[in-house]
Amino acid sequence: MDKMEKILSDVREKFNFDTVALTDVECSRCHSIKWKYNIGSTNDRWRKIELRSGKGLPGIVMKTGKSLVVDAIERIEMDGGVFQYPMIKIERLESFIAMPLWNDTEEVIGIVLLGNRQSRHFLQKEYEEIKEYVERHLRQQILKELIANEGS
Amino acid sequence: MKEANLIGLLEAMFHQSKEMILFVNGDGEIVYMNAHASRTLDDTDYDKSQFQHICSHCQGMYVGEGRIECNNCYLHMEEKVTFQVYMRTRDGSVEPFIANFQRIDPEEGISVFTLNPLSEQLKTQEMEHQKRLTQRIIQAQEDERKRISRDLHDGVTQELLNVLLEMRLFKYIEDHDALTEKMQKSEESLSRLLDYVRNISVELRPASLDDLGLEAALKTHFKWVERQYGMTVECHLDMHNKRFNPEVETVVYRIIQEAIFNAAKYADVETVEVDLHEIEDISGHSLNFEIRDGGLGFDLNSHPLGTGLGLFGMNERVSSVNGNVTIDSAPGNGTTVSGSIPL
Ligand SMILES: Nc1ncnc2c1ncn2[C@@H]1O[C@H](COP(=O)(O)OP(=O)(O)OP(=O)(O)O)[C@@H](O)[C@H]1O
Ligand SMILES: [Mg+2]
Repeated sequence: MDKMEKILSDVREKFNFDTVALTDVECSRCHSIKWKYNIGSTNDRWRKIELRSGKGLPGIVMKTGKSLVVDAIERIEMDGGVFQYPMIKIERLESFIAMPLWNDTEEVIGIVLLGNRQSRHFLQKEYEEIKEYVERHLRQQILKELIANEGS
Repeated sequence: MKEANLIGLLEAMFHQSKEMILFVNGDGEIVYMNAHASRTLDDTDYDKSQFQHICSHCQGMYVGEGRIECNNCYLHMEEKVTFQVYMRTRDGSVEPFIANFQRIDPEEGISVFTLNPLSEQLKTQEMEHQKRLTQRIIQAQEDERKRISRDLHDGVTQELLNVLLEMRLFKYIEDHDALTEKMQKSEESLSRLLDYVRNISVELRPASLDDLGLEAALKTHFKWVERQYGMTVECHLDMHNKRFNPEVETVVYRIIQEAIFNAAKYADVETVEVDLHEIEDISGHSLNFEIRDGGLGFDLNSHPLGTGLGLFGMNERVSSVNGNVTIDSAPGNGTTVSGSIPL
């Protein structure tokens, strides 16, 4: 388990998520976006997914720059149906938080998807806690790796 | 009552009935028909020197959901009551009738075939069905337009605007390196945009279908499906890039596409299998296709989870090229869509 996987697993356990996924941050300005990690997944379909930029969950979150917090997917009207969001469908998520991660020059470099297979009500305080934890640990690790890779 | 009397009455009834009465032999030749039938049915194709055949009038039976088919012909049955057939009439149109068919002389194989105009009520029912179907199709088209328009707006207009704004600022940048960097960014944006627009047009209609043919277009599509839904398509195509009539190619492409979309949406599987073979033997020359998933499956008689237009469209498309398609599925047993198109 590499460092990033460790952090993702910690987030998953600490906040009781079923799956925690992260997009490939090396490629935030590419034409398409892939998922690089998905802790807690039941199958490997997510590895094959490669959405062109602007599409799917990463698309929405990158465009708006805001987190998407969904308590129960059946209760919201998703543009074009769940079909447009393969990760939700493949992992059979019922609730999730999709959060953008920023670099220091205010560009979105990645998306972290925190999901549950049951509906789940998120309190504002809980969300803030998760966000704070993700920024402190996950974002820092991403920035560290990006810098290290740039050097090499 | 005297027997002569009954025959007389029967004859009178036969000739004066407002119902069409035809006697048909085992081969479907019309032995007798009453005045009302010969007044109503179209006889333009009828060469008086020949026997008249029921099939030159009949256009098929109504099998539900707005479809008319010529399978399981009543001619081969002992009896069939109250079914709906379509007949060509004298004024040149094809009209629906409620029919009864019954064998009355097994030795000679003679049957009596009676036809009544479809009651207004049934006609309206059918019209209602047709109307609902039309509405659903229009709605589906409308949704598709919305999707494309949103795609263009969010992906293209927005990004173009950004690039435009960036470029407007170029003239104020004095530092050469800074300008180069800005220009590089704009270039990246434009190249991404180009890709985006190209993708939209490929999704609408794959250019490769016209240029490179069915096999190449399908393979490109399968790769796209894998990236989009994380579902692999295992294909067995051995057509050596042979080209077919463009109509046939489009029909096959759309059917395979729809079956794969359905598998991605409802089957919950990691792989789908697609077979496509050209068959040429004594029984004929055809293009046979089969799409199989070992997924959740569904009950063919239950309500569709989605619109139900996809399978309907498959049927429509395939009959436009005189082919056939069968959907085989059961809960827990996966789904197979198979069929063939004559070449
Ligand atoms: N491969 C499959 N596995 C499981 N269920 C299926 C499959 N294909 C079709 N179905 C079921 O059959 C129904 C009808 O499918 P159809 O393609 O006609 O409509 P749809 O896919 O729901 O809508 P549309 O095709 O217009 O997007 C679906 O709603 C679904 O319930
Ligand atoms: Mg469908």
